[in-house]
Amino acid sequence: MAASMLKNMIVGQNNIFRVIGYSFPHKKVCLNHYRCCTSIVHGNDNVRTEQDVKPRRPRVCRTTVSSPAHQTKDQIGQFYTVPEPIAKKVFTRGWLNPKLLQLFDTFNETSIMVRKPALEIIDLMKSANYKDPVIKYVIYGPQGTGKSTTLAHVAHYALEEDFMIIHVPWPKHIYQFPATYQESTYKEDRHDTLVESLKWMNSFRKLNQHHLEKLKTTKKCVWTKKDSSLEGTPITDLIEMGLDREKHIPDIVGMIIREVKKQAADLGLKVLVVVDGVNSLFQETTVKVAPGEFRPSSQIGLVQHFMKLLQNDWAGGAVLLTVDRNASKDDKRESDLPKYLLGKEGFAVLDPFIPFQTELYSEEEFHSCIEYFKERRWLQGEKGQTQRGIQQIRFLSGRNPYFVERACSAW
Amino acid sequence: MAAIRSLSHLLRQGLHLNAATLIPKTAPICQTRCMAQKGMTKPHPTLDLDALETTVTDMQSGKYKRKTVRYAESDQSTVLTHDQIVRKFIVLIMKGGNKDTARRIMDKTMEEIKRRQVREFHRATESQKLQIITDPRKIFNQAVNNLKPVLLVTSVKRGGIAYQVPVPCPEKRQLFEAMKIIKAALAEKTNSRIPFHEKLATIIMDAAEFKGKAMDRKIEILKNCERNRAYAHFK
Repeated sequence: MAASMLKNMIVGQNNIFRVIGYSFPHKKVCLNHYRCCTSIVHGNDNVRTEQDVKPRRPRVCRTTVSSPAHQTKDQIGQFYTVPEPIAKKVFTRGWLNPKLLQLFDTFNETSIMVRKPALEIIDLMKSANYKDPVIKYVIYGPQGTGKSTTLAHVAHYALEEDFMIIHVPWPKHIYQFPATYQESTYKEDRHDTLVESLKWMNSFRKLNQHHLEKLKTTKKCVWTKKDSSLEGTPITDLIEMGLDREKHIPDIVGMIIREVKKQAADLGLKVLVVVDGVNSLFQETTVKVAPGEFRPSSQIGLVQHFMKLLQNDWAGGAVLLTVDRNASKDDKRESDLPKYLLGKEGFAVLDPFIPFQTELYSEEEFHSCIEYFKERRWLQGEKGQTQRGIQQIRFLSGRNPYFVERACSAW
Repeated sequence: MAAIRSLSHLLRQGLHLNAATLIPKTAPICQTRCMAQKGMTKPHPTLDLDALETTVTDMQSGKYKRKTVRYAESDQSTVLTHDQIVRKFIVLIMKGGNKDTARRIMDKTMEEIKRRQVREFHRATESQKLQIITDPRKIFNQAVNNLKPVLLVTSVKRGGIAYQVPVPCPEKRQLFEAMKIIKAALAEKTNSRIPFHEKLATIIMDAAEFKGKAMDRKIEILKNCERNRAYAHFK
């Protein structure tokens, strides 16, 4: 009786994370728990299924198909290597988890697994009509299952197809504990965070240099009494002006977004909007207006401009979003589902959208991942490569992609 | 009753009371100590998973014997990454009973060593690849073996003066001394702020190649022994 109770305690997925000791820091971990129970679990035949015991045929863990446009269902579960020029643009800090980037560095190559949600999104993007209003793809799923990696995979496809990419790395960084903030010069009831805006502007310009040359303004704008830019000035000029006068940057971002929305369909420009953790766009900030009174994020300049990209009133692009548990506040992290995390307000803005769920590794994907780690020497040692060692990794990680890597790191 | 009578008899006689006279020769001198020794004779519990997975039928066939064993240590586990020498080192670097923290640091250290070696491995040419060891446990064992001192100094008092006398280090103590050298090298202060596990990783990797701070410390110990070799006959 006691043994079966213990078994239930361990085998529950959340407990496995806690057992390894990599759980979220606010929850205290009982490390000894696993140690007490391992012998019981291994001794009990009911826990192991027949699948685990059966020896597996050796798998091919790599593909040579390195362009996402040509990848099909046959490549699911196999790793592909991203060419270096694209890896430098998209597989960098801001796009992916630093732990994963560290792994790319140690392996001396950038390769990720081809997985189902990414392929589905790419297929839909191929068949979409870019003269119609934008389609919104929302990715959701538990921690560590590859939401951001899916974004990077799709962005790789987008770069090959010559998309313009508007990437918002983690909206929380814009308004939470900003370096400086001040009241907007353009409108009342609005605050701007300047350092963060400058950072975003630089990375945006780097990614889309050749697309920005095509765009020109369609409206005259007045910066100060003496200073104004006429209709038809190129966007690149505006950006350079903004880099000289920092306080105008949030307004210039607004200008760019307005022009992109207007002209994308006419110019034949395809735009991919990527936001990692959209649910943080609908929250309260730390920008103080009066004692005890804080601005909602919708009244921060940059956030307001990005919100306009999520609307349905423009054509010539695709909107790719993730909903992340970590992006929302501490008291709102109980579920991974979009409706819960977005809330009423957020759901109303995004509706309608196509949801995609990222999942744990399947048995085949897990073994392909293990093969890859063996080849790259991340999983090594005589004991680690045995049937039993792999079985322990499977048990410890619960086939969660992030925890598979963490469990292999000990070997 | 007999004992009490004899006691009072002795007191009446006015003799000096000596504890040794009261205790019969056959009784143990200290009973609690003997109990501890009795428990220590039991063998350690096995960590071999094959043995743990045996069923009752295997027991009857005579392949395995049923034995009484000691209680398992709190940090012993059947995970295949478990290593006895690393476990001892974890206990040594632990502070204030925080074994969780110590273990996490050691895990990070092992990962760091592996990361550096694997990184080097993938950037090396084919001929160089054969020489690179990427298993962190092997590197740790090599480092500890390299640091094992042959001689030590102990202080011996002769005529009111304490002499530093070189003595051979017993084989049992060598492992402990080697680990202590690593710990002492860790305590040295550096100007730059490096995370603990990275510092530990560099010390271990250097020691595996007969260089670095820990190796200097070991050489210093041996030099100290040689300086005091005139007193070697004191013990």
